[in-house]
Amino acid sequence: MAFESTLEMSNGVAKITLSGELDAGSAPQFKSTVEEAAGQGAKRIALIVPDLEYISSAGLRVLVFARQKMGKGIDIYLIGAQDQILDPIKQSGLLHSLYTAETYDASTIETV
Amino acid sequence: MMPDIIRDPIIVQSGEDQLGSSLSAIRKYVVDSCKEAGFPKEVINRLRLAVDEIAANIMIHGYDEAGLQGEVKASAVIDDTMLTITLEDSAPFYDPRTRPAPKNLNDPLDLRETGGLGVYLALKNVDKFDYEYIDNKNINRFGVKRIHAENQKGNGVFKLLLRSRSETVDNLLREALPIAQYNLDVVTDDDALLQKLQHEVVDLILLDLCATDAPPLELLTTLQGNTQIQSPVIIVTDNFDIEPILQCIDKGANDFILLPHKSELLQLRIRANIERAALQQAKMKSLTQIEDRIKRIFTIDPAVDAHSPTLNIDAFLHHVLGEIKGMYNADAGTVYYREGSRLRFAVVQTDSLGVTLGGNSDQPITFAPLPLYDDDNVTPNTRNIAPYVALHGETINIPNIYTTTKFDFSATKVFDAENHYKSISCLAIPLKNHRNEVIGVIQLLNAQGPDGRIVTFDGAKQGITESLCAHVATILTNRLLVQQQMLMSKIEHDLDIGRQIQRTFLPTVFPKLDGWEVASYFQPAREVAGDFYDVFLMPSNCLGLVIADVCDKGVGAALFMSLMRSLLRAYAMQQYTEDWSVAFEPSRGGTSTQISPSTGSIALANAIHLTNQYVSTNHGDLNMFATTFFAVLDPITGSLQYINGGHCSPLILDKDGHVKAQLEPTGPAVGMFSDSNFEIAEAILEPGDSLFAFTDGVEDTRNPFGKRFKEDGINGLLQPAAPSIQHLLHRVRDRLENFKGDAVQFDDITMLGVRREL
Repeated sequence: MAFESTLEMSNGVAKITLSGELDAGSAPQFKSTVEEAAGQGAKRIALIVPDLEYISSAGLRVLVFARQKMGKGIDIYLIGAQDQILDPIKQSGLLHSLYTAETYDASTIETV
Repeated sequence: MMPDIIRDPIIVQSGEDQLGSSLSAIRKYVVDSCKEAGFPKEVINRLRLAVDEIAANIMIHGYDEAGLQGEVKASAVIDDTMLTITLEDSAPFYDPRTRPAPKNLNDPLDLRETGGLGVYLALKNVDKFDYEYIDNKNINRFGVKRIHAENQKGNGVFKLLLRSRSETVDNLLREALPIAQYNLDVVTDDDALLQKLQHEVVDLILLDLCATDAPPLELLTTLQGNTQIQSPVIIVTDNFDIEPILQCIDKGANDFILLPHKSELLQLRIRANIERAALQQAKMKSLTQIEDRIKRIFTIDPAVDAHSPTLNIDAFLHHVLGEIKGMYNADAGTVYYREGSRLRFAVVQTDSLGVTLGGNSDQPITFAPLPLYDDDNVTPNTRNIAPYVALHGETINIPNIYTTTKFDFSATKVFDAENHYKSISCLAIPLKNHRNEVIGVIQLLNAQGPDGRIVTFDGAKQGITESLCAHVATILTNRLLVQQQMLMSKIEHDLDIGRQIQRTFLPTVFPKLDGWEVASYFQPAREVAGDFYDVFLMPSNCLGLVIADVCDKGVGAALFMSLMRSLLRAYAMQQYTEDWSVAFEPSRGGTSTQISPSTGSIALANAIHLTNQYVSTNHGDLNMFATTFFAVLDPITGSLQYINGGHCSPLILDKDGHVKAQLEPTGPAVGMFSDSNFEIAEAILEPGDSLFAFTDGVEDTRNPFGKRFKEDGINGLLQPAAPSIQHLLHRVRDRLENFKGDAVQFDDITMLGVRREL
């Protein structure tokens, strides 16, 4: 499935929607989106991933990059992740560095 | 033994522009191979990730970064025990097993290094990984063990969480636990463990004792105290030092495992602990559900509030049946309520047929009650199960009514045939109260298992169900007693009203007439009598005198009496009559003569005729009537005009107490027939004369030997002459009392006397 990564800024939150399969081939695309969000002064990142079907270490590395690039105060939200997305994140010990939720709730996420 | 399945391999190309499609193709190949091997979704995802990570490394680090271009071949073999995916490439030698795992797996994102993460994920998500370098080719083999159907946990895997800092322990466990069945997650410290458990539920927790200084007692205490965490805990150790193990078990650890451990035994121990914990939880849940049921039966709905005095028994039983059926997930149930020597059907409910009779529903029950005894009223009815339970007071559990020899279920089988139903398992429980009296029976049919199949009724719940039924029976008994008491109170209250009504109707104070004395005596047999008397002033200063005896007793008779009394009085006050001839009929008996119409006789005629007509017409279906003597006395002349409607003859006595006349009946009892004829007769009370009237209760009084007073008679009491009529009445009363002794008084005793003074 073709990978897609789109950005929408909303009240300082970078809403990045990922769909398809995020592997070593498509990771660079994800990385550019993160850089774009940083360029727009995002205070927070929300990854909207109900349609994300696959993630490998390449994608996880971009997450680490995102946090390191944008500074310590940036919270990363993972919204609507399926099991096969959460498992590698858990195995890598990255889960407790993220906030997770089933749906995007603007009232909690956008009060920066 | 199945032959190996060798799938056709695929070959993909390296190169930056090929990266995406090549990896995608390899992933698809892995997924297809997994599906062919019958692996569940979780396993497919894990193997896919493992192979993809290594493939990506080969493409990027093996070829691209070395400035090379080449192929990667993926092949798959499925044998009895394993699926093996093999990746072959001709990039420079590289053994992934030499890559150290990332050191800081649990560090916060900012501090993480990502080197080695891909290989780590690959090795972690397979059961077996092999590497070989043959003929200048890197051979990476990924193996996932296949699981036989009966060992499969539904469609999923067991989730295990290991707290350990030792890679050795991690690897030992991983080798022993195939990923197709076990998902082993690892944390390195207590805090990480607790944090993980906040977000997810695992089937089992493993605590490594090997590489630690002290046993994790504090952690165990925390886990025990946290009611959200229900997972069993196994201590893992390589050192059979009993002391720390005992301490851990003391603090709540469920089991311990000595490593290294044969794979099959390790899996067995793990599964046994998981199953034990699951069973425990199911039991607790079941107990809580039963407690809730009990609460529901005895509190909530006010319509079926067991403590309400106006409890509707059938509605309450309906409610109880619903809850008890629910406890066993039974399809059908009947509640029988004992009435005398029979079991009445109170509620019948069959869910699968959509039938509800009795209880709260408006569908009546058409089945005849079950007799507890055979026709001889002695032999117990042991043919049907419900009467048997009612008589013996014990619970009966039948696994299958079609194969049992114990009871006669022919009626049930007939019902089955007629309604396309199959009654199989049956449970009958007595409703036995605190006095060990069986006041009813609950019979359930067809308990259902979780999959809907019919099962035997669970014997483990029998104790609780019997207690529940005993409680229901006791409550019902108490409510019934209260209801009876309330009913009695109501009846007494009504009787009291009747008594009060009567008292106001029966005068004890009489109009004062110069030269005349009036007296009465009234002793009802029961609370409310059928006798009455009346004395009232009529127009033109005549005195109306009535004595009567209603044909019945009790509340109905008393009400009838008050009706008659009111009618007589009202009509007596009427001045005119429509039929003058009534007043001129020749009379019978005594010293009466043909009379001429006068106001008194008109009133008399009116009173009796109209009352008679009214009662027989309007209350004819009650068949109530009263023997009635009604006299009108002219106090100036002493003339007594009277109608005697079937009443025992009053006496006229002279001043010495001799009987001058007996005033015989002049017509039938009042209220019998609307066309009855009543004649007026006349008598005279000379100075010194008395009129003595009474009801048949006097003559019918019996002594303890059954002899009637009449035979001795009043006659002996009339002389010597009493100084007053009151005196005479008392004399008769005393004599009656003596005569009666302690025998029961069956009839009301009423006497009315009038005396003309000398």
